[in-house]
Amino acid sequence: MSILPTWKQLRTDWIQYLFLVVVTIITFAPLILMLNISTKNSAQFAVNPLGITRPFHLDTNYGFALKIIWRPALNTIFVAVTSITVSIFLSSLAAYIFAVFDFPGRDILFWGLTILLMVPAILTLVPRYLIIVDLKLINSYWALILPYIAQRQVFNIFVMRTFFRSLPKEVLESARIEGAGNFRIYWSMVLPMSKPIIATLSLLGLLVLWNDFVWPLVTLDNPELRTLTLALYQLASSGGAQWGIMMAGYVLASLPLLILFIIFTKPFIEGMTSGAIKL
Amino acid sequence: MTIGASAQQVHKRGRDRKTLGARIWRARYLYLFLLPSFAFLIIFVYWPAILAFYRSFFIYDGYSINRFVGLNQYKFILADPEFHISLKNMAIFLAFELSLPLFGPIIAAEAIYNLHNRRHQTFWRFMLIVPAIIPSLVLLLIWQYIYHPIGGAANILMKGLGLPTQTWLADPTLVKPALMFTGVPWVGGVWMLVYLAGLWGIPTEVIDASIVDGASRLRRFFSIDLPLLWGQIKLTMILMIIYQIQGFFGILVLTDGGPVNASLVPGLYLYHQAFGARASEGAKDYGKASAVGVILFLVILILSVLLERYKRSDEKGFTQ
Repeated sequence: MSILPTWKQLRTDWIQYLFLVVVTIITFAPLILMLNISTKNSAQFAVNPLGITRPFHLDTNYGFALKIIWRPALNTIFVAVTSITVSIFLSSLAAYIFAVFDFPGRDILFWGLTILLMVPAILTLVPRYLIIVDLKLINSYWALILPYIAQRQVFNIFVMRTFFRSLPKEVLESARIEGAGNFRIYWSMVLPMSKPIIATLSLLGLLVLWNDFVWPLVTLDNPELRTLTLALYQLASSGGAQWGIMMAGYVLASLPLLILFIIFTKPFIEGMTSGAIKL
Repeated sequence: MTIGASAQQVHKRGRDRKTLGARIWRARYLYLFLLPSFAFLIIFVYWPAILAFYRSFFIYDGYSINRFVGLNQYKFILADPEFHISLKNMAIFLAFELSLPLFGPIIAAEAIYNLHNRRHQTFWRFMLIVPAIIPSLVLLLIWQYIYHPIGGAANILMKGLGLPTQTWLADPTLVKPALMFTGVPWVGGVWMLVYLAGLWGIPTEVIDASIVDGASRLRRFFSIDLPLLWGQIKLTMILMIIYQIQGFFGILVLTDGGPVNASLVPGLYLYHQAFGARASEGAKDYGKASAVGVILFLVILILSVLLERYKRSDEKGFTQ
């Protein structure tokens, strides 16, 4: 697509284009800085940190950075995929039950979920840590996976319940008349119809878990298990480290989400701005 | 098969009034399927929330010391000058957060919305969301480089402009502005999306009518767009306030509250009590940390209730 405005568009919309171009340049400046420095060895950085220097030391910097972060990246992926999958499954089941059935205690249970929106993470941080210590889960994947599953539940249940209620009633009703059980309806009709919302919630979950820093910092100190954010932080604070290698590590850590996002831009934005995620 | 049957019977309960016990028994499979969800929530959310209150009445180091001290933790924290500094710093960060970072996304959304070319709208929206996908830690670490006194981009820029170089994050007077500046240009991300969706939701007849009436773009912004986005703006405000009161991640990474507490915030104060550098020297006190958590919870609760009330008194709700 042509992203260059025509003269006519420039004449009417020049303020908007100017604003957007300036803002985009400012936004991308740190990222360009990161890419540029990631090509430098320490001598080049010492002489000319901001300019473009040749030759590029891509293989040394990126090779070294990859060696440091590949294992933590796999840890993060493993933890995120496990906890997001379990959480989406459990919360879709709960959301379906809350959306479709009428049973004693439903409103009380749902009210119990609503008050969780008032519980800030800072209140539960320390006791949650003490529970993980008591359960002897410190320094294990479980220390991350189990609380993450719990943490994602509330939001997921709310969003999916709203979504399930918006599904066409006639379709579900006709399946029921044809003799499909409720679990069957959930599994082979409701879930497939919910693919877009599940994709959006998974991507949002991934974004949160990929970024999480404080919780792994307090629950993990085994270098084998550390997550990507911990590895980056240690890379950054390992005194005397080379900026080129550090920046290469940052680039590598940003790539997976960026690629996923570029592939899923459309469904993601639609999910974010559709009625299901009520704001 | 069984939930199907039980659900239909539950459905009919209006006709043949069953006893509560029978209705609960009918719905037994529903409870069974809700159980895993609630089990996770009970262990990792409800129970820690209750435990926070309980622990706050003790001095507890996780090993040998576990002594009931009543309200002494609260008395100590509320009298601690360091906690006062952290509250003051938080207020400054919050005040800033409610200026540029609150209105930047609205202006960006307006800029995109007012492009006449639909494809260009999509393109610029994409460009402004991409930074939100970069891990926040990566952005912070790039800023750590930018502010680095030797070879950092900020000082190179200062030299280029003929200005004296600074120590930025190590300077007590500069550290707060420097931290705020890491959000430059305060436009992108998810909020811009939310506002843009709000703008696109405005019926075209309304806009057309305003054009026919000869309203200027600025006029339209103030009398149509802003009132219609008011719900989203208030929601952003509430979430920003909640985030600022408890957040400390960026500060932990860049300054750890320094220099000399110039960037200390309450969340970080809590973190230091339980996990920080000083705590590892044997001064760990999970009781005090829990008490700070309870205080912050109460602050958030009171502010939320006040804002909620303000929201109600004020025309329609913000769930559009």
